[in-house]
Amino acid sequence: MGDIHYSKYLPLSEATFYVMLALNEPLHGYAIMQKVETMSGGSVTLGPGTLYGVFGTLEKQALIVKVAEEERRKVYALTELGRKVLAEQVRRLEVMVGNARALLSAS
Amino acid sequence: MNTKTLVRKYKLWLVWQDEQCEAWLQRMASQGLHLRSVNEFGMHVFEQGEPADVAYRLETRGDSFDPAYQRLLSDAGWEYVAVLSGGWHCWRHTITAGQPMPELFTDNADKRRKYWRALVPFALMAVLVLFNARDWRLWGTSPTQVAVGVLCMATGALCVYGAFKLGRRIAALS
Repeated sequence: MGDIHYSKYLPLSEATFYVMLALNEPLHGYAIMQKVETMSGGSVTLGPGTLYGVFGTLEKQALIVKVAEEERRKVYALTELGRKVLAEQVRRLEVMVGNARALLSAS
Repeated sequence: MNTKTLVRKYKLWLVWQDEQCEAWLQRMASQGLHLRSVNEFGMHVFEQGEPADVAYRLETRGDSFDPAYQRLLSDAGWEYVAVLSGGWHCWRHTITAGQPMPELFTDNADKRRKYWRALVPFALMAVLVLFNARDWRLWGTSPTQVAVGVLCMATGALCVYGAFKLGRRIAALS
């Protein structure tokens, strides 16, 4: 597999980041909304319109894939590429947080 | 037998007045008037019932009838109400005290896209009318032809104004 051009996908918006994080296990839309709300302690809520838009974009980019459809609920999962992109986003965020901590605690 | 009292109210909303319309429908619901349908001339039919705190949200998305999208919205507690004049799709959700206000879109980029989808037909219509207006001399001079010409120009002007108003909304969200 060739190099991945991460800049094509990053940085992820807050909504996209949390959707991908929730899709660590296959889930349908409403379950994602609930998981994200619980995970973030209520600080991130996803509207269904926004979530549906995120699905469309991520599916087109092949970062997620539909793995099942039950009673008109589409179940999505991260693809291999999706996992790599998410991991790279987390790595970059850690660099940013590390830099900020070092600078702000020094002053 | 199920007889519900219906209340009719006439009100014409223009496409860029979506937020005023949402607030108006919410006020109506707080008085026990729950929207049932709207015709293309702006006649709103309400069902008289218990006063309730209900959020109304309008959107333009053409795939409102995608079954998976509808399922997601109903799972999340949204109820489809009607398509309004101007092509807005109207959804509602009960407001619960202490919970965040229900929203279809929680990202400004999505709100911008919503207004872009509304803007495109206006911009096309405006261009079409103004393009036609180049040849206004060929339109004729009989009273009917002049009347049609004036009507066309008025439509074009309204479209230009609509596109301008929607453009302002998009800019404000950027």
